[in-house]
Amino acid sequence: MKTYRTQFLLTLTMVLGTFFNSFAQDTKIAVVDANYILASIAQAQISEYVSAQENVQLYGQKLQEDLQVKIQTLQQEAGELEASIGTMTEEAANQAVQAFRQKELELQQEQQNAQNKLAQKEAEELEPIYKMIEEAIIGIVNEQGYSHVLRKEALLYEPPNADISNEVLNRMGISPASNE
Amino acid sequence: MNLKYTFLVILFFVSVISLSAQETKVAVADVNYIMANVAQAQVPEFMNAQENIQLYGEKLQDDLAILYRELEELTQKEGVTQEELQQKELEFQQAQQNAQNKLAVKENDELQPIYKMIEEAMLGIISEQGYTYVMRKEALLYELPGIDISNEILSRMGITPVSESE
Repeated sequence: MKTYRTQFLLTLTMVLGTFFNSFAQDTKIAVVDANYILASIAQAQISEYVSAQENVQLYGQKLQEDLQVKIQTLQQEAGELEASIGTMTEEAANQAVQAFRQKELELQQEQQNAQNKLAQKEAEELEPIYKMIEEAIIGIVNEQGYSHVLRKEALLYEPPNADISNEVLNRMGISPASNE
Repeated sequence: MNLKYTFLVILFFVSVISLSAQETKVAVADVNYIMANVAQAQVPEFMNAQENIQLYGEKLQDDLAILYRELEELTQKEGVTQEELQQKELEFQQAQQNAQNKLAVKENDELQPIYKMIEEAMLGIISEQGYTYVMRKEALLYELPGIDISNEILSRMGITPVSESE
């Protein structure tokens, strides 16, 4: 009877322990400094990053060249318009000016688009890097039972050792950048 | 005897577990709200910082005005080449950009004592109440009621909150 009771209490302890333990595991927070990680990756010049940067740069150059051609064409048209506008009827001149303004506006929009395109390209090209970072984070999370990984910028205070940025870098085979 | 032992084991486990459960205790603070109240309360350190920032801004503005006058004079002067004019324009634009950056740096420098006061108040609350994390309110879409310590931070700084949160 006594043994039974002891066993019962021990079981109860274990059940309670498991319960509280799983409760405690509910929140185990790690902190990651994405800017620091990206800076370290840039400094380490890992091949995926270098090739992404190269592709982004080439794409940017291409966009720039395309725009340059269009700007030159428009400049030429402006010159032609200036030369011929004196010989036009007032109506024809107005139409020509309006058509030219339209083209100017389109070019401005294209310049704006080029910026967006470049940003999109950069995000696409860096996707493999983000994937690597994510995989490293997930590996650490699984091994150490974290439930949340917070961006460092979201915090005003964190306990020492909560920051796993260097672990993430180690797992990616990268030595941390010298200064944060 | 056996029962007593078991009971002690339970107590031990529970205290260990509740200790580990306390490992994460999260608070939230709204820095914008705190700064708004610091401004409204006219804390001397803040007033002083504001004054210095304003004076510095005026000085930068005066310097820019001089450059602008030079640019205008150049535009009206005869025999100035297009290149010279563009050069001066570029100089002016760069000076404008620089002035903005300098003002932002100055602002940050001058507000440092305030940030320090906020941080000290926050650290006091953290150590008294055992928080392990303090999150920026803007990083959260939802938080448990009662975990926002912004007003406590203000009280600790001797400031009565007046400005509404958000």
